[in-house]
Amino acid sequence: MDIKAYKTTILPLKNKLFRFALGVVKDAAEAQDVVQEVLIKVWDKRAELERINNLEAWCMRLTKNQAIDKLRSKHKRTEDIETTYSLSSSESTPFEKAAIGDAVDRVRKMIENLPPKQRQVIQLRDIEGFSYQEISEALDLSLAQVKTNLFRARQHIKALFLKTESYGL
Amino acid sequence: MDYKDIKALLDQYFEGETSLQEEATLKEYFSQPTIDDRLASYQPLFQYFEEELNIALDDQFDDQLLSKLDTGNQKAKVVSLRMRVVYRVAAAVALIMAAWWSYQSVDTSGIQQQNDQTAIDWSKYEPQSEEEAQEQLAEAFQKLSPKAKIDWSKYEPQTEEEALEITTRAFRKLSSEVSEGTTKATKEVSKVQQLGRYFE
Repeated sequence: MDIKAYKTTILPLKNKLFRFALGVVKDAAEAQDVVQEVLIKVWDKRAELERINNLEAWCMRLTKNQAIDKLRSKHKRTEDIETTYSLSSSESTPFEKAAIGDAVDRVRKMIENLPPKQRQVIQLRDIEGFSYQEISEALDLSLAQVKTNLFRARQHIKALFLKTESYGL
Repeated sequence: MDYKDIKALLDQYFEGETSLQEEATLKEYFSQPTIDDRLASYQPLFQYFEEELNIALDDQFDDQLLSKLDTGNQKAKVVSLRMRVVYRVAAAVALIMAAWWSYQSVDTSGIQQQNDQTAIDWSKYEPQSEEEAQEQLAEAFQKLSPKAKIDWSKYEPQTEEEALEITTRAFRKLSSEVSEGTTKATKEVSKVQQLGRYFE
């Protein structure tokens, strides 16, 4: 793969990868670093790219791993500070958070609070439009696991919607 | 699509049983400004999916990334650039050498001389008698078409002058055609020479 092919096939994936990384690290600057690191890695491995079946899913997988690594190293750095100063105590509770902002923001919070696997499956399926197979390759899950996580995530969302409707939140 | 269809799709969606195509239909339905009141509460969910797609990296990202790729592969790039220059120089040298060689090996003045020589002094070959002329002519024609049995007597010239004139005319034609060939060759060589000068 030359730089021209890289620009037309790999570079256009950057925003999808960025959104996914952002979902994991929750910080735009760090998510940007993750994407840059991933895309440099892809360039370095360009000789192997021909053997990869689905480049998009493969790049997404690299992004997921890179983002998790970033999160782990960040946690190591900030763990002590958080426990000492209880930074999170000043933040609103999920209930309070959900009441703030407009309806779309409430949905955002709702999805952010899903268990990681469910949230990632929802993100790849409902935002990025991935097939089950692509999600399976990107998240390193079996097809059955993909379907189970998607089903649980949507049931979760449905329950929250019904609750919101009943309580008028 | 009416309420019933969308409600059915929405139920399937929550059960995880919709295809990508059906999910696209739902997204399209909920992106409309006015929808059925009974479905309005689900609009923010699909709006959220659409809005998330607006999250993007800033414009400087590409330049920053590409500059990092360049630094990482500087060595390889320099080598390839250097090789490209080497190939160009080699090609230029080869062209100049070819031009010089063609200039040196083909001495066109010689061709010009030969060309002048083709204006032959035919008087040397002039037959001395009528018989000799007839004989030479018959021989020449026999060589041209050995199998044909021609009654040469029909073409026999009646006087010595006539015979000489016919023969001279024939050889002149032959001579002019030979000259034409060498003139053409000389022209082509001159063209190559001109081309060669560009490389000098």
